[in-house]
Amino acid sequence: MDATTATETGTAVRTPGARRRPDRHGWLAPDNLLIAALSIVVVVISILPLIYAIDAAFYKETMIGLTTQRSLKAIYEVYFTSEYLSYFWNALSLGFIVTVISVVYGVGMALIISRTDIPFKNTLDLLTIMPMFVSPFTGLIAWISLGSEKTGFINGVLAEVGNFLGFSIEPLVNIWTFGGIVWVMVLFFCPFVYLFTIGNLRGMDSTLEEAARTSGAGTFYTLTRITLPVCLPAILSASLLVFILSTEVYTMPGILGAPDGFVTLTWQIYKDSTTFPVHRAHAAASGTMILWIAVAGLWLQRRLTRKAEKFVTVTGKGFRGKPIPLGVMKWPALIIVGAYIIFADILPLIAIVLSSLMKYSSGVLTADIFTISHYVKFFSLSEVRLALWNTMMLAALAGAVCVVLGFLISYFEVRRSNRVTVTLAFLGTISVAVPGLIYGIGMLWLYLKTPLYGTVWILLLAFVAKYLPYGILVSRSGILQVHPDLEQSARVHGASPLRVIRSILIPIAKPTLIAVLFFVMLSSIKELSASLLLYSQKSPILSVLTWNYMDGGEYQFASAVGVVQTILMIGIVIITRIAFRIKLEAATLSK
Amino acid sequence: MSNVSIKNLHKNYGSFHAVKGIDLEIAEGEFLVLLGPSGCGKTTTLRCVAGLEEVTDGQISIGDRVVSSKDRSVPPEHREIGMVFQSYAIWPHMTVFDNVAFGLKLQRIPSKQIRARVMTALEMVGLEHLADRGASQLSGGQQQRVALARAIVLEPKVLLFDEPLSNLDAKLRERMRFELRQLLQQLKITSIYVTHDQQEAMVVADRIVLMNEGVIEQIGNPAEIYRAPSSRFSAEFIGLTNIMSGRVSKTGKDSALSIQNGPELRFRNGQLKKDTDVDIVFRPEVIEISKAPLKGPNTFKATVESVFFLGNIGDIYLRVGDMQVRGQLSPPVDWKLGEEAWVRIPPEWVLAYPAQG
Repeated sequence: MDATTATETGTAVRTPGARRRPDRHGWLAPDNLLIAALSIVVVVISILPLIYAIDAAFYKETMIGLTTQRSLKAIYEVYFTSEYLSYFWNALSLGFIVTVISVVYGVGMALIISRTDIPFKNTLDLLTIMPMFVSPFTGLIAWISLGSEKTGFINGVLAEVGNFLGFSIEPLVNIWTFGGIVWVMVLFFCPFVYLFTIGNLRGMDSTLEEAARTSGAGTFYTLTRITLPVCLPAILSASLLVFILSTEVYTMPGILGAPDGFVTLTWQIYKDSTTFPVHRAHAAASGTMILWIAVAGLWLQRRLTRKAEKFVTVTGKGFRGKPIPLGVMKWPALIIVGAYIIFADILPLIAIVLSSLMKYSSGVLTADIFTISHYVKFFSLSEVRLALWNTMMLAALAGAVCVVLGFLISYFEVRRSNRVTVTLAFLGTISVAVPGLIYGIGMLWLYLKTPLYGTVWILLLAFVAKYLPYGILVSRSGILQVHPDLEQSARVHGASPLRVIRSILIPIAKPTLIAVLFFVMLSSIKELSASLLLYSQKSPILSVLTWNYMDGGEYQFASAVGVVQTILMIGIVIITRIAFRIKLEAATLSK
Repeated sequence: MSNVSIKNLHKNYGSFHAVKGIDLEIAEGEFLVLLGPSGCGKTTTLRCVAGLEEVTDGQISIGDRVVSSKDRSVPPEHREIGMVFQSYAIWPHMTVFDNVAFGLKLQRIPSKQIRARVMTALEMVGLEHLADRGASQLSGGQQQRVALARAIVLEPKVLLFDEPLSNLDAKLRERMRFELRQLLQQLKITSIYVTHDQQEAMVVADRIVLMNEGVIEQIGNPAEIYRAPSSRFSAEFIGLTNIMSGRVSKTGKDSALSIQNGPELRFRNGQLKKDTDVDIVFRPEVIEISKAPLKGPNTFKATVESVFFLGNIGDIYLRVGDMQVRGQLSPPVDWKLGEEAWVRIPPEWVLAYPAQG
């Protein structure tokens, strides 16, 4: 009845006659100290880099970095010259096209899998979200070996088939084009749309559709006039997410767009930050431009979800109506979903494994082209071994830190709700909308003159900043599921506040916390956009190595690194599914 | 013709038999209530009539048309029905007007007529002033009325109700029962209404079908079922009742039951044979309780065990030997605990059913 009375109400209400221990009262109460410590951590990790990223745009730059002199030159050139504006325009138009295609296809697959009697439903569902568990960059490497004009497997196989039939077939596909960029990005962003939409479709009160049927509407009319409009807020949220993601991803458009001279703003930021002579101020100024997209997107999303909350309806009895019988339409439906699975899962998987076992790039496979030397090299190069170790260590640490910080921050936000704790949670989640690249720029500038610079720990800070929002948002929903009565009855039965957290809250919220841990691990393993700016020769990680080997033309070795990285990630997914019965994709949803 | 005929209806979900052979004839314009505890198959039966579930076996006809049989099912949109759901199922992205007009627009009726019919339906449920309101801005009671308007505006052959009042608060629920009853007496549409609330059933029903574990337990109007329950289940499910176990000790004109360590009770016998184990049932309000000695059969001296004052009635528990009897007094009389009382249980109200299991 002492310290907690003071903090639970937020202000120091003193119960008359209560025991007083002056050292545990008021501002110095242990939980207040903890909140203060958390605030400092959040500001240093999530907020300062952001401020520094914007600040860096206002300096005079040299060929190797920034000077201490202020200048508006970079801002002017980025916002008002046609060169940078055309990069910005490229990013927007690419984002728009990718979003439209991903939404149409993702929503279509969600409708087919959730509403019809398509066979192998659970398998199709799992395979459709699989690309989320693979690094997009690995997927890119795979598609380069599949879709290159001269050396790609697809053209190679087609030419062989042509030869056999006596035709000469010209190369059909070429991934190194604008179309190729859109293709690879759509393959990797479809699962986001799919997950958002199918979550909504599954949670929807089925009587809304049944009421349309009993009012005289047929299957198709019900889908287009009732089902889709009711899901519209979720679909719009997913569209915004995909749009933001596709404007900030720079590896795919950067690499594949090079031959055509197609440059997006984020790719230019990467080049300005890393290629000699560097233009750090220009990079930072372009970063602020990308931030505007994120801010606008977030603002729109907030408005939409607020509107969406009105859409909540009383749920019925959980009668799940019978699925729509497809009849002969079963085949087209299977082709729609199956094609996606072939192009997003099966072909890339085969391609990357094959490619990692080849001496050089070739669309034609002969017996003497195969070798296991890349894997031998993988485990003998000390740089690669160090990268493997760093990757696993960083993933585990980032996961653990995000779970602890996320749980504490959301606990205070939910159970000790006051202006300080709510603001703390808000600040911690800001980075969800900020591209990793911008964190990279900010951290470079912030830690330039500190011993952290160039070590593996700066990567840890970047990962925590980027994934703390998941920790906060997901554990918040976990804590909200625990009714306060459960905790209060433990207090009444004699448990201290700490004991309540340990014996009641944590055990019940455990599945959520484990989901956060593994989700952050997974995301850290594939993180590339901030890592590319922050890593050094002393601190290699797997995702950066794949990039470097790609850049150096060693596609086959990059494939081998990609295979190992993928095995690591699939391993995490399998462990969480089998050992903990947790579906990681569900954790993404609460975003 | 809009009578509904259900013949030998079976519905299985995998190995679970939700409905096990139901035969039912619902006359044109009749208001029929399917009543029973949760899991008794009443909602499943209703959903089969709606075409939202396919039947495992049996046949359902609306008018002269077979709409469901083992291998054929007319889709819900071609059955000319209206349905009100427990969750109301008001489409959140439409206005009240659009919700009600939805089915009419599908029939390609000129918009002028649609407007007139929608407004008439909204007037019937008292919501004409909310026509342009967004559906998500409605209270539970208003959503319920919109759902009703949406169902009746199509002038369906059959109206189906799936626990339509169970999400409303107690006061509103009671008012809506009467409104619903009045509206349907006026419209004369054949209606099937599912509920687990026996009071609700008694207010709205022309006829009640009491269901239990996938079969029909009893069919009758509310008074019949209350006065002459056909089984222990019926007696227990509808109204309050005293229940005890016993055995038939005498048959013929002076039929009597013996209760273990209790008195012998005279009762209204059907065809029960001597020595049959039975469940004995009589309602609390039939018991006569008096401070002055009573005469006649089934008259006992008892002790007052507990008394509860409930306003319009008094609930009183009495002990006769090892037997506890619950009675109801209207208006309530002040009885003291431990006081002696005379009790008479009229034999014509004592019913017995062969004991189950």
